[in-house]
Amino acid sequence: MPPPAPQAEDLQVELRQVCLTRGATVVLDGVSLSVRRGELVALLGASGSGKTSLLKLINRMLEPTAGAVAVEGRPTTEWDPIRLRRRIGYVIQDAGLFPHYTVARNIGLLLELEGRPAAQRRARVDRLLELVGLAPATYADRFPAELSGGERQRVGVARALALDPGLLLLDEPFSALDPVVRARLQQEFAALARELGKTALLVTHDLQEALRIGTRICLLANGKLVADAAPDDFLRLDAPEARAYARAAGLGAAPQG
Amino acid sequence: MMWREFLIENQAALLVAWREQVWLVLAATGLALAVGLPLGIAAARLPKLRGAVFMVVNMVQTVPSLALFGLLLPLPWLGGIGARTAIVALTLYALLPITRNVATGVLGVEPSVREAAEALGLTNWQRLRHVELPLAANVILAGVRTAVTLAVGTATIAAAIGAGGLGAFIFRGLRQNDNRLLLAGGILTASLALLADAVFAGLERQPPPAPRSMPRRLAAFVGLALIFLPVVWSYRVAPPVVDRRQRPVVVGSKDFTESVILAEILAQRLEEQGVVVERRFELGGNLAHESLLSGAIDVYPEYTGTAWTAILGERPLTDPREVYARAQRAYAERFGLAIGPPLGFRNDFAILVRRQTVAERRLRTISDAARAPLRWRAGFGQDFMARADGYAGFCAAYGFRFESPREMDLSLTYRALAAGELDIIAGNATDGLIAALDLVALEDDLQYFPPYQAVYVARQAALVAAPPLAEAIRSLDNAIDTDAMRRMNAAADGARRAPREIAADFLAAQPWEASGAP
Ligand SMILES: Nc1ncnc2c1ncn2[C@@H]1O[C@H](COP(=O)(O)OP(=O)(O)OP(=O)(O)O)[C@@H](O)[C@H]1O
Ligand SMILES: [Mg+2]
Repeated sequence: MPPPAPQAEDLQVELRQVCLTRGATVVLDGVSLSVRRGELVALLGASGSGKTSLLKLINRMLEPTAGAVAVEGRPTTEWDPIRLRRRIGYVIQDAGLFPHYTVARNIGLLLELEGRPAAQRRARVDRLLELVGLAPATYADRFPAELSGGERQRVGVARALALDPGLLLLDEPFSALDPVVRARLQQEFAALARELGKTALLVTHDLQEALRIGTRICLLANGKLVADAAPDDFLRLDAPEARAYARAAGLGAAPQG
Repeated sequence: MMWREFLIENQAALLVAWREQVWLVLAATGLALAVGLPLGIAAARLPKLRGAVFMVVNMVQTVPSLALFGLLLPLPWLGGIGARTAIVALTLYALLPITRNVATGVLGVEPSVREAAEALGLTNWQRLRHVELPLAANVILAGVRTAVTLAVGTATIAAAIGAGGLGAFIFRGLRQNDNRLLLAGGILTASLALLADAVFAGLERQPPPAPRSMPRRLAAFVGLALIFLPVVWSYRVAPPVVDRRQRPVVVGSKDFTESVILAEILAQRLEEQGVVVERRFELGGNLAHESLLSGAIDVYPEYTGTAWTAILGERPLTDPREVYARAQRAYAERFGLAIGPPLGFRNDFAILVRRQTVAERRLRTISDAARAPLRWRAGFGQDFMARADGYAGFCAAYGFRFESPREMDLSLTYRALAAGELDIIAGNATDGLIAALDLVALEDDLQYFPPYQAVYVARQAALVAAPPLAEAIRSLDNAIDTDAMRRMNAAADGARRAPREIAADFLAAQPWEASGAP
C-alpha cells in the first residue's frame, strides 16, 4: 500500500533530492524522503552507506551539497541550528554521555540550560529515568563509567527526551545490547514512542529490529534510497539490496504473503 | 656558623626577592592563561589557525631568555627596565605550554562526546563550558604546571633587567664570588618550583567517580601556604616604600659590585639631604644608559672610557683629560646628559694573571707576557670581546695570539683564573677580587687601554628638578681614590659586606660629616 500524499502540516521531515559530498566521497546522491507525524521510520543500510550523515542533515550538523531539507515545513537553512537541535531529540551512535557529569546531570543539562528551576528538573529527570526503565534512586547519582553499555544507551535515550521533542533521531541506540534485552528495549521504545506521540527516525543494521518496531522501512545503498516500504511489504520488494538484507536475516525464503 | 649571620643579615632582602619572584611568576602565568586559553581554544576549533598559532608560540620559545629580555627592552609600552618587561617575556614563554595543552586537551575530548554536545543543541560557549573545558581540565592544568615551573626558573634571569627576584642573589653571588648568595638564590628558586609543583599535583583530578585524593590536596594546601606566608611576611618586614608627596630621585647602577657601591654612596648622600631615593641597581649591559635616556633613572655611575668608546662609538684615546672633556661635550649635545666631576680613581682594563705565574715566568708587563713562550689559556668577558678598545685591538697592539679564547661571564673568569682553569684574563683595575684571589695586574706598558675615570652621569632635567642631586654629585668630586675604591670592592667581594654598609662607612669617614648634615 503506497502511503497517501502527505499534508504539508503533517510533514515532520522532508528531504528533497538531497546530495551530500564529504571530502571526496559522495555519501548521498539524490535522496528524497518524507516523514509524517507519528511515523517510526527504520533506516537500514550497510556500514558507511550514509545513515548517520542523513540524520545529521536533519538537525543541521551537516548541510546538503544540493537539494533541500525541511523540518516542520521550514527549510533547515531558515532554522537557528541551536533552536532546531533542541526541538529534536538525538541519540548518537555511542551514547556520547558526558563522562564528568552524573546520570542526572547528563539528562538534566538541557533543562538547566533552558533555565528550568532545580526542583522541576529533578522531577523531570526522575520521570525520564523511570520511562527508560532505570530506578532513579539507584542511577541518578552514578557516573557514566559506572553503567553497563545498555544502561548507558538508555540514559542516552532519556537525555534525548528531556525537552520533550516531537521528533527523535536515533542512531543505532540498541546496538550494545544482548539479544534478549535488545528485543525488550525495542518493544518498550516502540510503545513509548507511540504513547508519547513521537515521530522517530531510527538507524539500524538489523532488519529484525526494523521489522519489529518500524512503521516504515527505508534502505540506503550507494547513496540512494533503494527501498521505502511498510514492514509487511519490505520482504516482497524486488530491489536486490532489499533482497540481500532479507536473505542475510534468514527471511529471504519467506513465502509471498 | 657563617650561615646564621648571613641569613639574619639578608632576611629582609631574601623575603623581598621571594615576594618579587612570586609576583613575577603569578602575573606572567595569569596573563599567559588569559591569552593562551582563548588562543588554544581557537587553535583547536580552527584547523587553519592551528599551524600559525603553534609556529609563533614555538618560535618565541626558542628565543633564549636573555635575548628576549634584550629584544623587549627598547620597545615602547612593553619594554623598559623593571618588572614589566620581565612579565611580558615570561608571559611569552608561558604561552607555549598553556596554548598547546589547551588545544591538545580540547581536541582530545572523545569525538562521540563532542558530537553529542553538538547534537543536543549546546551553543559554542556551552559546549566549551560544560564539555570541552572540564574534560580538558587535567591536560590544561598540566600545561599551566609546566608554565609555572618554567617561569620560576626563567624569572631568575629577569634580575638582569632590574626586575628583582631571587635571580638578583644568583647574579650577585656569581659576581662577588660568594657561594652563600648563590646557594640562597638557587635553593629558594628550587623550593619555589617544588612548592608550585606540589600545588598543581594536588589540583589535578582523577576522572569521576574517583574521589579526590586527600593527601595530595593537603600537600597542595601546605604548598600554597608555604609560598604565600613569606610573601605576607615580607610586607611586614619590608613594606614597599611609596612616598607620593615627593618624586623620588631614581639612582641606577650597572651590574657589578663597584657600580653598586658608587650608586649606593650617591643614594645615601642624597638621603642624608632628606631626598627620597629609589634604587634601580644592577642593570646589565647597556641598560643603565638606555634607562637614563628614557628617563627611567636619573643618574648612575659610569666611566669616561666606556662613555667615549662604547656609548659614543668613538675611537679609543689615551689622554684621560681629553677623553673626559670630549665625552662631556658630546653627552651634553647629543643626549642632554651631564657628566659630573671625576670621582678620583680610574677603573681601566687590567690584564690579570696568577701571582704564581708572575713569579715563575718573571713577568711584569703585558709585553713580557706576550713574549713568554707559553700557551696562554685565556678567558674574557663578553664586554671585553666585543668592545672597540677590547680584545681585537689588544691582541694587535701587543702581538698576542690566543688559541680560541673562552668568552664567558666576567666574574667567572676570575674564578677560573684563580682555580687554574685559565692563565690570563682581562679584569677591572679596581676589582676587589684581584686582592681577594691573589691575582696580579700586568703593566700596560704600551698604554693600549684608554682611561676609565669614574663619574656620575645624570639627566640634565633631573639636575634641574632636584637641586640636591647636583649638590650631592659635586660633593663627591675627587672624593674616592683608587685605593679607597679597591678597599671597598674587596670589602664587598672578599669580606662579603653589604654595599649599603660599605657606602655608609665611607660617607661617615668624609670630612663634611664632621660639619653635621641636617
Ligand atoms: N567527517 C567526515 N569526513 C569525510 N567523510 C566522512 C566523514 N564522516 C563520514 N564520512 C564518510 O561518509 C560516508 C557515510 O558515513 P556515515 O557515518 O554517514 O555512515 P553510516 O551509514 O552511519 O555508517 P555506520 O553504519 O558505520 O555508522 C562514509 O563513507 C564515511 O567514510
Ligand atoms: Mg553511523
